[in-house]
Amino acid sequence: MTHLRNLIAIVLVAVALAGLYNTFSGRGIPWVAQEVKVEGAATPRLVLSSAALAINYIELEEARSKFDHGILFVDAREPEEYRPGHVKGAVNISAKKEPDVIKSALSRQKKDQEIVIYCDGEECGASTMLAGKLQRLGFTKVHVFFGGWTAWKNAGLPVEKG
Amino acid sequence: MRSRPALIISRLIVGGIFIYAAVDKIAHPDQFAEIVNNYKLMPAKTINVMAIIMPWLELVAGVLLVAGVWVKDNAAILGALLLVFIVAISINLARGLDFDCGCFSTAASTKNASIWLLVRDIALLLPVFHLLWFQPSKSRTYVFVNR
Repeated sequence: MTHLRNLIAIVLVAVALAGLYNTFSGRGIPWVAQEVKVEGAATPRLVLSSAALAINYIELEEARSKFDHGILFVDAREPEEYRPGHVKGAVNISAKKEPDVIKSALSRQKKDQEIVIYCDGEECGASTMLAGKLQRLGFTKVHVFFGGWTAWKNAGLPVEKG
Repeated sequence: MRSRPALIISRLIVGGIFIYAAVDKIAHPDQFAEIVNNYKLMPAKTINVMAIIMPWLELVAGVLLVAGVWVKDNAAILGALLLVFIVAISINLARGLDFDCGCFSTAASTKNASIWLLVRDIALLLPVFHLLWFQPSKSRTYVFVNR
């Protein structure tokens, strides 16, 4: 029985510390993720953190208009997914890259210039993850194109390989 | 196997690795939550609770294990976590899903979601079992304190 008592004590200490840290550290996230409806999307977007909530989710129409205005598109997928096809002119920055690598890849981009990030489609988390990293690097106008590569390709919009 | 130095080494290996693994996740809970979400195993409502608590459980149990407090209990907790990781990684390898392991870092730059992850976690079970089997139940052997 002492083992059970000890196990419960260890878990309770961990939960208490986690709760305190999550409340007071300034890095906390909500205990329950929010589901946010995105216009025109089949599934609601699961928003896990307030950083993710500050990200502006856009749909195909808006992404297309930003594309027409020459705004930078960033493909957050892996290089082997990027090479066979991506949005025309998009640069590839994998969401898993370290912050300093991301920073140097965007060295010519001003912090207040708009950026559109996408990954595979509605189900992928890479675009949100990369958007969070860009916000921490100080980029202020980060949009996540929710439909991603799937929606773009299906709409017959400009793509390229390589 | 029963010798005190061998048991201390197992404690330091398991505890040390879990402490190391916990720190980066604690520093970036939002990114760790995205990684947990990408495993696609947990209901949406539970993802953040997992992402908030799990790294602290790793840290607390890891620190206590290194310190030699309640060795068997902490080894059992970390062993149970390893089993959970092994199941989660196995399911996603079988599914062929592209997922970020999130094992040590929330910024893992290499996509090494492979059989190697499983081998590593299973290998780490060995010192855990060593402690569960051979650590004397009644003793509280602190590293820096003589009995």
